[in-house]
Amino acid sequence: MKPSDCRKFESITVDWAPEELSESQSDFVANHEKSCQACRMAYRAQVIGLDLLRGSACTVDATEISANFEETVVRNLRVQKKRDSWGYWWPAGLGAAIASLAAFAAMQLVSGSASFKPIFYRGQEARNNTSGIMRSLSTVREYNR
Amino acid sequence: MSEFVSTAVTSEISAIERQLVERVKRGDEYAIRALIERHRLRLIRTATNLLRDRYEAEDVSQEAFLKAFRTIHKLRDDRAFPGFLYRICVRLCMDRLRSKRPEVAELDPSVPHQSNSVDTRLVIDRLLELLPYDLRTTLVLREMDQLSYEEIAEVMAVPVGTVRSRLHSARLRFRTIYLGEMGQL
Ligand SMILES: [Zn+2]
Repeated sequence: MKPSDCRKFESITVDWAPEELSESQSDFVANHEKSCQACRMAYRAQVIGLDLLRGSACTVDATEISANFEETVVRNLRVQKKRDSWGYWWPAGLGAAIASLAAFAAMQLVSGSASFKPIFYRGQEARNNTSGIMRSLSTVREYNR
Repeated sequence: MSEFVSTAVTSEISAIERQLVERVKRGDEYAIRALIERHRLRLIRTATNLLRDRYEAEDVSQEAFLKAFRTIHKLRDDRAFPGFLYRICVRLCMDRLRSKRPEVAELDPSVPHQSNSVDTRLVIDRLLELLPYDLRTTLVLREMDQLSYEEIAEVMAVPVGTVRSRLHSARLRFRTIYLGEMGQL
């Protein structure tokens, strides 16, 4: 457990730069630094470490950037635009539509589905159907008279 | 007078920027190239500071440009493009840092401390590697890119209070690690 002065010192020095401190805070920091070696070491580590961090900031200039940097972005953008457009996807879309139609037709053939009436009639079923059509025709003729 | 000149120059720059963004929205490739030219250096520098790898930084910067141009129609204010691009880049860097190997909690005590001969850059790389990605990003944006607390909050999409507490933790951990790494100062 750190003494309260050490905690206060840590809180001030971690959150504020020396030039941001009030007069009383500056005095406290200076006095505590003199009397407490552990805090002094920690604070020096912070100051030096952060200075090194700032000093190691990247300073790359335009001549060091890959020659094809811009070209790579533009080329990838063109490829992605093409992919996004219908022009790129329509052969795949058409293929998928034909495949689903074929699959649907195959399912109908295999299952003899009851949901769709067959196109060709046989025997009594055909005769019933024909007489129905003839009845409709005679109704139309009577109406026309 | 100089302030007036500087204001005039700034507004002229933002007018050019706005025109370029408008043209990019219409699919003008020349404007795309112009915007890349204007912003690539800053992106690469920031990404290098965050990732500590120049080549990965170029890769991320290209990805950021691609993402920005593909979503540029979402940008309401064309003058906001630099911030929009920068945010995308920092977030891509954070994604990469997050997916990297988990950081080691302590330094290897078997490695001798050679404070006189160590390469500063390697020490800093190592110190940053030991920080969790969110603390590392906050510290780099503040200390190296010199962003304000409010700007960091906007870029990282967190409240300003979170930025303050992350910076506190980052500096505290950074100095503890540095002290351990360098031994007696
Ligand atoms: Zn103390």
